[in-house]
Amino acid sequence: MTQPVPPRTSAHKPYLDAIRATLQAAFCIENFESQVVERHNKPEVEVKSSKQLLLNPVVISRNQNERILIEGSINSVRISIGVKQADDLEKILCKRLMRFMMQRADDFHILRRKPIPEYDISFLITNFHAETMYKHRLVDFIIYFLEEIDKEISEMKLAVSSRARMCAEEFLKKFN
Amino acid sequence: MITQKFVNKVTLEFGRLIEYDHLWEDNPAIKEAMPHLRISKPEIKKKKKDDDLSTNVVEPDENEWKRLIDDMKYVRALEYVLQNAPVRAKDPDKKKKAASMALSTMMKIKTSEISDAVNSIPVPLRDTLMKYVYKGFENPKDYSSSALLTWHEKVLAATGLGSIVRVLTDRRTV
Repeated sequence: MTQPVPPRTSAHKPYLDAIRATLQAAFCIENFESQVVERHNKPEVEVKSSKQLLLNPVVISRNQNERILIEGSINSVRISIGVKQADDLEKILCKRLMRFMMQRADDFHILRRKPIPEYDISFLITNFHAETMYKHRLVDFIIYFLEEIDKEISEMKLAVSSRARMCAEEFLKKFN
Repeated sequence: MITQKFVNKVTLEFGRLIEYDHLWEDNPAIKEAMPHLRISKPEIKKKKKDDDLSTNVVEPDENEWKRLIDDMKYVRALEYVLQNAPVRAKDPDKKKKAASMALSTMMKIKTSEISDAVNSIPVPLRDTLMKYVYKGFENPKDYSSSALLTWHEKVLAATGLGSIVRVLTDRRTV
């Protein structure tokens, strides 16, 4: 059928379990056409046309730096992720990586082009996405994304320092 | 834009709703449509005095709570705060005070005792407990997120996904 997402046991299991449960609860979305403009269909979590259509926004945090904001509505869910950035190098790498992905948001479908302020990256999932893609797979994907981002950034950090070391070696050989 | 189709639909569906649920009066589409709707003014009941949210405010008494904390009766103290949580209050300071009471009590209860604490709290109050867990996540500086994650797990095990849905949808926020 489809590739299974590899299950991982990590130290962050309670955090990811809490996120999974909250996402499963928030993912009750259905088609809802705009009440303000005829023939328009807008994600209510972005437009916020009426208070009755919005759910209470909810934050889940593991520590000061890593948190997730989940805002739901009747036809869309917005998930904003704050990624752990321990030092300046990680900050730059994170910013670059997120920008890379957000510039290709069209192909990504569920990604938002700009993150919500105070967060690093945001997903916007509408009822149309939920109709073409399985909801439980979307939740699995978000969890997988969270696990992978941390790994990617630490891998990139190691790559940067090893490349820098090799460059410096080659350069200083000239002066030997 | 108000079309005839919209007017008919709204008259049928919302006419009754406006009578019972006053939130709909603020909906911009409804406001615009009101002059066109075939609902006569007297049918829209005024807000009853006891619907007024500000008169139904309860609040946990700080002294009573301190007394229970000093006696080391943490679970009883938590139950007391949950019972009198200011869910209907509009004043953010009241809510903040009650939240700090509830969350500091939750932090005092040991990790091994959390599941017993959750089971001893009566079922109707477990939703409020979940609301406070999410409230605690908003301030990771003040409240230990790892402890809160344990609370989240245990409350979820006791109540199921329904409690999270109620946190997301309930207007009576904590």
